[in-house]
Amino acid sequence: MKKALAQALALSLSLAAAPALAHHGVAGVGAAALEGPGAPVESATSAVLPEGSTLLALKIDHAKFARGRLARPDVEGDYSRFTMLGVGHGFTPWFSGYMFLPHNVKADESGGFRTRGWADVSVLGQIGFRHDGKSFSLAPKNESLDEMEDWHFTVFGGASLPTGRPNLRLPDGAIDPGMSTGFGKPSYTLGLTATKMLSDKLTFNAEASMLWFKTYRYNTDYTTGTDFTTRFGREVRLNGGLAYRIHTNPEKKLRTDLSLELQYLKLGRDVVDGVGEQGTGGRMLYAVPGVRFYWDRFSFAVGVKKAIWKNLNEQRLQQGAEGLEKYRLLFSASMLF
Amino acid sequence: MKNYMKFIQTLFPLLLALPASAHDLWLEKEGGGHVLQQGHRTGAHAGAERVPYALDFVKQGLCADERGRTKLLAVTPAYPLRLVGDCAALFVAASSGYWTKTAWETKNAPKTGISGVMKSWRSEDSVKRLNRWSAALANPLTPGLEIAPVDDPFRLGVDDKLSVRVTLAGKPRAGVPVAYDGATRGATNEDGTVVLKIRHGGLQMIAASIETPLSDGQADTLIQATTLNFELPAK
Repeated sequence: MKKALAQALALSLSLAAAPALAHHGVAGVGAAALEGPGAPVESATSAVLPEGSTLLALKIDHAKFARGRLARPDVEGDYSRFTMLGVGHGFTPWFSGYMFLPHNVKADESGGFRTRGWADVSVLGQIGFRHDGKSFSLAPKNESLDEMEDWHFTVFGGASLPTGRPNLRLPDGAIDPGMSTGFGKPSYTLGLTATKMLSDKLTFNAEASMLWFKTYRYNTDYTTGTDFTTRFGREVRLNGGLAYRIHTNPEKKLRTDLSLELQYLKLGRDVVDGVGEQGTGGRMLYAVPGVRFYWDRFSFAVGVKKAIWKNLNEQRLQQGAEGLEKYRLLFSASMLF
Repeated sequence: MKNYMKFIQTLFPLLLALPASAHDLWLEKEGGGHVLQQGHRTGAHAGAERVPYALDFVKQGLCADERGRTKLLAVTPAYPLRLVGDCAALFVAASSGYWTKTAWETKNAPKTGISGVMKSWRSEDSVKRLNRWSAALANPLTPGLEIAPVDDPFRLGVDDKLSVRVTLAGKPRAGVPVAYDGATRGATNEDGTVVLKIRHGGLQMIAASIETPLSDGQADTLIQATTLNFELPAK
């Protein structure tokens, strides 16, 4: 069960990162991007897709876990790699819709068992707002750079669809929900973002979001001869970040931003057969320094994510889960057309 | 992509391709009248603050009252041009004529008879200065490219927002890049408007330009640029 949270996070990333990815595409289209608001590497931002435009996105999150924490190192998690393909479309100036297809790889101790496969597809809708100092309004069709300096907000919500494989079996016939590639039931997310240009180069961004799961009854575990239910713990995120524009080249449509994010994550305890599972859940704070490049209609971001504080439930029992990574390497690329 | 993409598609080519005509034009108050100045006032590009213009540069001067009614002002071949009149709004139309760029030089002449032409254009400029506000002045004074505030700009202070409308042939023009103090801040919406932030007191410089194909055989394109001036209390 200890790795269940990692899988949950994979979904969360695919949803919560969508608005941020949306921005990447927007920012890649020209002068407004060169001088407009920046975006952090991972958190959602308050940019919506331009009406009629389509975004293609790729995101890779490689989590390498600290090992040697458990008595049985052969069952320790080695790494997880969450790859996400996404497509988004601006249906109106203020509403964008997205669909994501994650692919997960989860590996135990080096040379050990590894699962991989396409995970649950997710869909997400995002509504953009602006506050011009006097009142709120839906995100307009067109904004000047001066209007982009106003506070911008989005509300987003979405769900995953159970298209993955929740009953993926380990070699001994056991089912570990944490190693599966699906949740079996839809999960839901809801979030808010706020973005403000503090100067022509510095952008502040904040995100608050929540992800919650439903109880799913798994097939019979051959090692125990019984079936069981699991509900993963709820996830709450509070992210804050700054992006600072350090370089622009209008002729070549190039822009480079440095980014620093602080991400607070609260993971609820998993519930198995109606009982709270030991060694799951907790609270942690990540730092994510990174850099983002824009080139024409493309955007690329690279960052390193590391827990700088954590308070996990029964921490000595946990391994291969959030908060216990040696590092997470983040990469994203997107294109708007 | 709509306007956002229009913004990009129109803004970049214009910003990068605007030729030697990219001087600022503004109307300074002097004594009881106004003086037309040309130069590099906004700092958008390096160069002398004042750049003389040809004696035949100015083609027309208009003086508008609060009702938006205009009358012709006497324009004499002079540098700098002085215009006299108690005007709610003052409008000057000018042109530096045809320009032709070759690999070696940029000539102030039509492309006819010149070899190795890379680009050619006719340059038309205008500048409008508001001295007083009335609702009628939200409308264009001429059929040329023009910028007009949507509302009273004199009630604004630093950090307030101003909506301006760009018109051509008296109608709102969408997708026109608009600059404040020489820095492009956005492109106009379908109703011809764009919102700008007042950054300082004193003389305000709001400029727009468009480039359209020309079929007179003397140049490839017509580049029209216009500037809106008004003065706020300096702080």
